[in-house]
Amino acid sequence: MSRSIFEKLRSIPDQYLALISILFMLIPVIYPLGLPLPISAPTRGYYQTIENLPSGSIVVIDNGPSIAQWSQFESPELATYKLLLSRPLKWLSWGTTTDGPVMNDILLKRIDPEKTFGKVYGTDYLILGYIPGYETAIAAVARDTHAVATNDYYGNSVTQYPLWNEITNAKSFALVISINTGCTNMDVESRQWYAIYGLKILEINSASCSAVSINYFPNIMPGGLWGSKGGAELEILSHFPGPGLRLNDAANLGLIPFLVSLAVANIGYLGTRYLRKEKKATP
Amino acid sequence: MSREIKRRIPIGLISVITAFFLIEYFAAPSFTVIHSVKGELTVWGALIAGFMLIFGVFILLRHHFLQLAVRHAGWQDKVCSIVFFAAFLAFLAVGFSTPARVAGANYRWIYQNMYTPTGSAILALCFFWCVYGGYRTFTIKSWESAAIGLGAVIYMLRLLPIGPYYIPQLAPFGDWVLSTINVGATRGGTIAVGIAALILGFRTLIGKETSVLEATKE
Repeated sequence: MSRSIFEKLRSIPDQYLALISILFMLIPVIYPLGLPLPISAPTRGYYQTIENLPSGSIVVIDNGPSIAQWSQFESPELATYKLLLSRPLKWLSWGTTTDGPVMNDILLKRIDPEKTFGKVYGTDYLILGYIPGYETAIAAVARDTHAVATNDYYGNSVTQYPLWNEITNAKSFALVISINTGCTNMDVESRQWYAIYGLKILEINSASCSAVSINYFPNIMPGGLWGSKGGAELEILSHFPGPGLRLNDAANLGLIPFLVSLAVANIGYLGTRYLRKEKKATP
Repeated sequence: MSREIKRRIPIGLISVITAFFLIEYFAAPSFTVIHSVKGELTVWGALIAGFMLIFGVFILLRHHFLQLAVRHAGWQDKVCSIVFFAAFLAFLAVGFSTPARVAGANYRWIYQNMYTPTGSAILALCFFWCVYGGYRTFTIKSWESAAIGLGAVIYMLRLLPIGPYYIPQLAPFGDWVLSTINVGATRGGTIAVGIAALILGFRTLIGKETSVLEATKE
């Protein structure tokens, strides 16, 4: 007995699904879409919070991305560093994961802060290495920053840097930027920075975590960038073009096959069910 | 030392430290001794975490060494262990090959050209599993699954530039779903987790919470 069209729709081989997905992702590579991107409220909040910081404020960056999610973190991180460096602000970055300082260093090499923005390492910004412990480490950095590090990421003594001498603990910072891949990251960050010291937190996280992190918006977390979409939006707002829009096109077009597969599967399922019912009703 | 005493010492330590941290939170700034001791303990926490990292590396090395040398593991497992040792030694050698260590150009190269593409490729494979999974299992069989499906579709279409471009109402509607309906539900979950943590904390405080010790058993 030949199968109905609905049954065929329910049994498309995986290879075809994979092929369609790859073809969709290739579209922006061959032909960038460049569709207008509406700026979301968390991105506006993110941008405004940094813009509104008083001159000379120090920002602490809890830097814990996963380098495996490079495509999700590259554009929001890059746009953030450019925005921070373009403003009269100072920042201290430290790793909550081993990947954090490495990615930070790779991206800063690409920006070249001294040449592009006239910012000096050690005076305007400082990168510490990985400090293990995640929440314990955050608590320690907030409590007594000097107690947790003696050298920077490059292995040099931190005491030689003027910025290090301006920092003592959480009270030295005006804002926290948390970069992390965990969907409960804001729970941890808010426990250590906001609940105890009242510091507001901006978050960079993967796109899938926005549904959880949004809980803290806009009071504890006045803004957030989630995935390449967030990065692309900040690139537009800050007028620092980067890889966000291209990556966003590719990442988002990858979702279309997922949506199409959902639609096809459900048409197949509902159609098959309908045909079975009709068959049963026929005497 | 009996097993009971071995259990009671760490449980007692955890209880005392938990109580101390709790008291410190509510203590007035004039109680400087309490605040400085808590500060010292917090820094100890970071140091212990650093030590645990070394301990973790040791456990990992031991596991793979045993898999190669002692255990009657299959050849696939042995290959995995060989790959582990090769990667471990390569990273170690590259890390220590220059005075700049992990900040050196060699280490950055290995990170950018080996670790990043490998990690990204493995993560990218998840995407295909999502497509297969969505196709095979995400069928609307009830009102509940229809609601989940609708929410997922709205959320994803909101992420697509094409979605709000062709349906301008999708962006504000997607934002509303995310920031109102979603927040209502997830905040409930967050509050539940908070209450559970409070109960766990209280059990720890009175020395009833032994799962931190039992969890280490295989």
